[in-house]
Amino acid sequence: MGGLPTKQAVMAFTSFPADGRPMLAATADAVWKSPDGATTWQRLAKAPPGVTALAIHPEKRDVIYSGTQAGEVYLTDDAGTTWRKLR
Amino acid sequence: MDDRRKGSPGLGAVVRGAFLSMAGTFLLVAPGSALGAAPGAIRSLAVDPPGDVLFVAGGSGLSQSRDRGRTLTPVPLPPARGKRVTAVVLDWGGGGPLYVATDGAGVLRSRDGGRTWEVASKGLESREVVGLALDPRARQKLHAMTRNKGLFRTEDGGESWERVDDGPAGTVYVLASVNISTGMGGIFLYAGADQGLFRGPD
Repeated sequence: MGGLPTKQAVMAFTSFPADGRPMLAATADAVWKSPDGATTWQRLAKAPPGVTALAIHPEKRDVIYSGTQAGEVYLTDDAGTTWRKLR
Repeated sequence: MDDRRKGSPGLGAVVRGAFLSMAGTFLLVAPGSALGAAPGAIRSLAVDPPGDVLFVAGGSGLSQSRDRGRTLTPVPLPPARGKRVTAVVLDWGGGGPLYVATDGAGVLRSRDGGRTWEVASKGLESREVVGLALDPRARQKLHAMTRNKGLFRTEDGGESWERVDDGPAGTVYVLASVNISTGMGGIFLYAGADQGLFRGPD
């Protein structure tokens, strides 16, 4: 199993409830995604700044919410490729 | 370089880069440097599919949104007035319980979508709960990480808690059950902490 390729604290973590795929983890400057049960991790090319909370929709694995250190809420409908700020 | 790090007393060694199958032992899968969370930060999110209700836990307590997060409505938590909400988890899809972890008032449970709350902390040796995880396979089973008394488990939806062990070393920010088999009859429990990402059998 591969670890996260970073030495930073992990502020947020979530996974799809049905099968654990994907997993997402947030560090201070990035959001990381594992499609394969933590065997490999990829840094999302685009992510909200300062993510401190993550949640995957329990029935739609591509729908992911994130909350930030500044109290903002973001949403992606495409598994983290693009994010839009909700508030 | 010595890659081993001693976990909390009683846990045994926590080893980077290898899986330990000892029950209650957490593996450090990514080392991290310390980072604190701002007081106004959002600490936890949960989505309930019927109506896609979004629950938001953060510095100002618990809120909910019925328009995908655009507007938030505060959810009163009378048993935890003035306490920080550190986690929100729910038994999704079908009106299952909603749980929150608080820093000072333990774990609270709501059976009516957040309208009323009851304390669900019997057996928790600390009311300072920093992480809460619901097992996606056995939804009466939850884990709670306390600030200084270790990791606890309930298998009856919060009616009673039992201490598991000291949990991961360092400051834990988030706890999550992941629906991937350990091969030992359970699933994995992950913890995000100031020292990185940990995992262990649940």
